[in-house]
Amino acid sequence: MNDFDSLCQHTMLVGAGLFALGMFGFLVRRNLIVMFLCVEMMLQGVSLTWIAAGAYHNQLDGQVMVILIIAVAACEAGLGLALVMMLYSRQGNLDILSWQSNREEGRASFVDHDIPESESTSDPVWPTLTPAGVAPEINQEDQLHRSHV
Amino acid sequence: MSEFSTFAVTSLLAATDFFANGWASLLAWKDQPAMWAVLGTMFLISGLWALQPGARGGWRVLGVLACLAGLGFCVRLLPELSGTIPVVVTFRLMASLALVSGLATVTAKNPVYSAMWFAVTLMGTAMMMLLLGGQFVAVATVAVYAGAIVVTFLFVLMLAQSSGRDPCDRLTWGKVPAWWAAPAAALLFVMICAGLHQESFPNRQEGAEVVSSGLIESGADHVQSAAASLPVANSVAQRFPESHVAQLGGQLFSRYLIPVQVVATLLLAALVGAVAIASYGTASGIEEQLS
Repeated sequence: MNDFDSLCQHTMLVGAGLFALGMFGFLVRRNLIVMFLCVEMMLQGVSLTWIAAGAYHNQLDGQVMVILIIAVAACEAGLGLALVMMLYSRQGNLDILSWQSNREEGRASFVDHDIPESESTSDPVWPTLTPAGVAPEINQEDQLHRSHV
Repeated sequence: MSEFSTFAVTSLLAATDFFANGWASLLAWKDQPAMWAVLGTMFLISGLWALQPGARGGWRVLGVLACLAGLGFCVRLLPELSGTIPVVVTFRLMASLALVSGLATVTAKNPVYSAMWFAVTLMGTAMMMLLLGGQFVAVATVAVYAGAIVVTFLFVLMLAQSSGRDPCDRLTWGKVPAWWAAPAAALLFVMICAGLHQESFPNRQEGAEVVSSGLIESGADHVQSAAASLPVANSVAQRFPESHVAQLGGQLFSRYLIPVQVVATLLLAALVGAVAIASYGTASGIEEQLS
C-alpha cells in the first residue's frame, strides 16, 4: 500500500460521501431545483470515484468515463431545467408537493402539518427624515381633487 | 466478499452490544475496525437528522459537527493517508471543502445559496481530480459544470423564484426523512467505507494487455499506451507520463469512438428536446393545436 494508492482510496471515500449526501438531499428536500442539484452532486461523487479507480488501476478509462458523464450531465441539466420551467409555469411554485396528484393509486395524500409562519410578521419600520424649513401652504381644494394630474 | 460480510456481521454485533449494554461495552471492541464503523454510523445519522430542512440554527451547527465527527471515525477504517506533506495537506483541505460545501448545498434554505455552494463543491472535486492526474477532466469539470450547468441552474432559479424565499425550502416530508433518509444515507456511506477497508480492498489488476490490445484493434497503434506499460508507481508523475492528456484523446477517439458518437447524438437529441419542451404551451403552440 503505497502513497498514491492511499490517496486513491481516500478520494473514493470523498466520492462516496458526496453520493450519500446527494441521496439524503434528494430524499429530504422539496424544492424541484434543489432536488436536481442533489442529483448532480451524486453524479459528481460517481465521477470522483471513477477518477480514483482509474488512477488506482493505472488506466485512463476512468477519465474517459468522466468525460462521458459530464456530457450526459449537461444533457440532463438542459432537459431537466426545461421541464422544471414548464412545471413552474403550470403551478406557480417549485414545491414538488403540488404535483402529488400524480402519486400511485391508493396512496394517502401528504398533508403539511408544520407550515412555518412567514418571517416578516410585523410591519417594517421605514426611515424618516427630520422635518426642516417652513411648512408650505396647503391648498384645500387640491386636497379634494387634483386638476393637474 | 467474505471479508466484507464478516465485517458487516462484526459491526452488527458491536452495534447490538452498544444498544444493549451502553457506551462502556464499546471499549471491548476497540481493537476491531467495526467499532469505528458503528461510531461513524451513529454520528452520521444524528448529524444528518439534525440537518434536515426546518432545523433551527443551533441544531444545524451541532449537525455539522456530528457529521464531521462521523466522517473522522469512518476515515479510521481506511489505511492512513501517506505521501509528501503538500499533497496530503492539499488533499485534506479540498476533501473537507468539498464535503462541507456539499452539506451546505443540501441544507441551505435559499436555493441560490445551494447552487453557489455546489459550485464550491465542484472546485474541491476538480482539485482532487488534479491531484490524481486528471488535468483535462478537472478543467472540463470547472468549465462545464461550474461554468455552464450551475449558471443554468441560477438562470432558472432567478426566473422561477426571484424572491428567494419559499416555504417549501424549510419543509420536508413530515417524519419520514427523519427516520429513514438519514439512516439510509449514513449506512450507504459507511458500507462503502467498509468496502474500502484495507484488508478487503481488491488487488490491482493487470491492465496493460487490455489497453494496448484495445488500441491495436481499433487501428490506432501509433498512440502509445505508456500509462499501461508503466510499473506500479508511487506518485502522479510516475504513474501518468507527461503526455497522458494526449493519450486520453487517443483513447477517446479510438477505443471509445462509438460511445463518443452516441453521446454526441444524445447532446443533439437533448438540445431538440429542450427546445420542444420549453416552447410547448406557448401562444403559437396553442394556436397550432387549435387550427
